[in-house]
Amino acid sequence: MAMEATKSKTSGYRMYLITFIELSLLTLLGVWLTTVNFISGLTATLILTIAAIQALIVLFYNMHLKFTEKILAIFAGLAISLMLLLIIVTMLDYIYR
Amino acid sequence: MEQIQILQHRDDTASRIGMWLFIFTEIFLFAGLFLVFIVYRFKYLDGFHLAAKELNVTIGTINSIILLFSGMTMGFSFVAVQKGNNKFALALLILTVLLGIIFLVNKYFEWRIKFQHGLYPGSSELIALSKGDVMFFGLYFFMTGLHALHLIAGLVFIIVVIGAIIRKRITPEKLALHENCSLYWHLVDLVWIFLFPLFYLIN
Repeated sequence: MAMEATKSKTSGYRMYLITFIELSLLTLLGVWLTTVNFISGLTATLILTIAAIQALIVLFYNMHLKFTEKILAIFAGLAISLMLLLIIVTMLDYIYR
Repeated sequence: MEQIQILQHRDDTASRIGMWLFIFTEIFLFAGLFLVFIVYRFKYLDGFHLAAKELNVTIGTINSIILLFSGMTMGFSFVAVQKGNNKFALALLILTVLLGIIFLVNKYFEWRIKFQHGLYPGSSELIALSKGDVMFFGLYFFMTGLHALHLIAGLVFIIVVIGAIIRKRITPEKLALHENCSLYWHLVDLVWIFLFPLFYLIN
């Protein structure tokens, strides 16, 4: 039987340091946004957009989706799309029922 | 002379795909809970708005930074093992465990304040409040509690990896266990990235 040793190619310490700084700054930006008076609903939208950007950074860099097999990235894309569809369809059903 | 060759079968790609499938199920579990939160937030807008003001944004922010920092130390540890620097990897994993424990201690103090104020599911003080408050704190304790359970499972997983590194079962050529542990720890990060704004920031 063949031995297999697959390694994820990552960019080393620097990549994790940069993602930590980015994620921390985005967290602080989200906290700061709560102190600003925007039009009703805009703050929530901006904060959730920031959370979505943070999630993408974690998925692609910390969880190595950017460096791993293409098939995994496709699976992840499909799973996340299905999850978003589930949320959107349920919300539409809830709002227009 | 007869030679006996022992071949060990290992499939790191299959191991990684298996871990990702498990992560997808976890993402769907939390997505369902986020959906419940969003629906009830629309239904009890005022109650959720007032209840969210009871949470301490400073503690939440500190906990977020602690968890993000632990994600970095976990990543550093993975790189250290790849480079064959096991001592550094072990130190970083121990630091990750300590950061996880600090997160849980902060959460304990946060929960204790809520218990002292009678803001926990089933308490007479909470039942006397609006339905929005009851739903908010019910979801708050359930979702942050479930997240904390995942974090504790992650800590156990890290301790297993520490043991494997000490026994030289994780090497630069055999990284699957460490990588899967790292993936799980980042999942805990990922869930908190959404829990924090939903409960602490949107009010």
